[in-house]
Amino acid sequence: MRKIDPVVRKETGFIATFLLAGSMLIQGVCIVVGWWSLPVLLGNLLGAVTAVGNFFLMGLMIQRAVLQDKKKATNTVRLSQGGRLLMQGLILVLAAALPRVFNIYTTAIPLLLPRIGVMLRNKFGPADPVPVVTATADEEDED
Amino acid sequence: MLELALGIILGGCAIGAGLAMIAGIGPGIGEGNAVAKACEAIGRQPESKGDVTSTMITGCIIAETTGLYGLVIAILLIFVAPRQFVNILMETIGK
Repeated sequence: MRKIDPVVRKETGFIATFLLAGSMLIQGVCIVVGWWSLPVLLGNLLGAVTAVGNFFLMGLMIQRAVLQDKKKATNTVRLSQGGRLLMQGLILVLAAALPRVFNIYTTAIPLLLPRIGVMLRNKFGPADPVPVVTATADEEDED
Repeated sequence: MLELALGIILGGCAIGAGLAMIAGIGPGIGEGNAVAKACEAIGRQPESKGDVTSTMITGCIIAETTGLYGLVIAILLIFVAPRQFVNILMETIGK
């Protein structure tokens, strides 16, 4: 079995944590507003698990694709993206087809949360150290 | 007349869902190009693999959510919206 890249593990952990916080917020809002029911909770769980799974699969795909040649990597990514979009579509159809088990809105919202998490981290999170590019010996000689 | 109104509602929802799914095409193409460039970058500087992969993952999730917005809207238009629109129509006719 292929070893999971530490970067993929770290990013998936961040997204899972953010989704947990987001799901708790959704449940809190539903309780306060009075919309809470079992389908709301089950839909939220289904959406959150799907979002984390989608992110993890995307990370694995990128880990594999960056080691391939350009053309093969492009095809791998397109195929994977189509497959994952189809998977999420099927999950949403399942939630829509079983309204007594899953709430469609609380299933759909967690799927959109990873983007918000990444955007918030980019805006408010710690800045990554910028790699310092030093001049090579040849460039110094030219000067 | 009622049949025509129902037909327009269902047809409109189906066309809208189809149009929303056009958004699913872009992320696949964009992600493919981004990964191709990442392969080039790692080929030039293999030591930057971790940084490039991390940036790629961040970029891909942002690109991919765009397609997901379209998918969610399409699913809602097919499974949820027609019922709501028909209810509105029935309430309007009832008045």
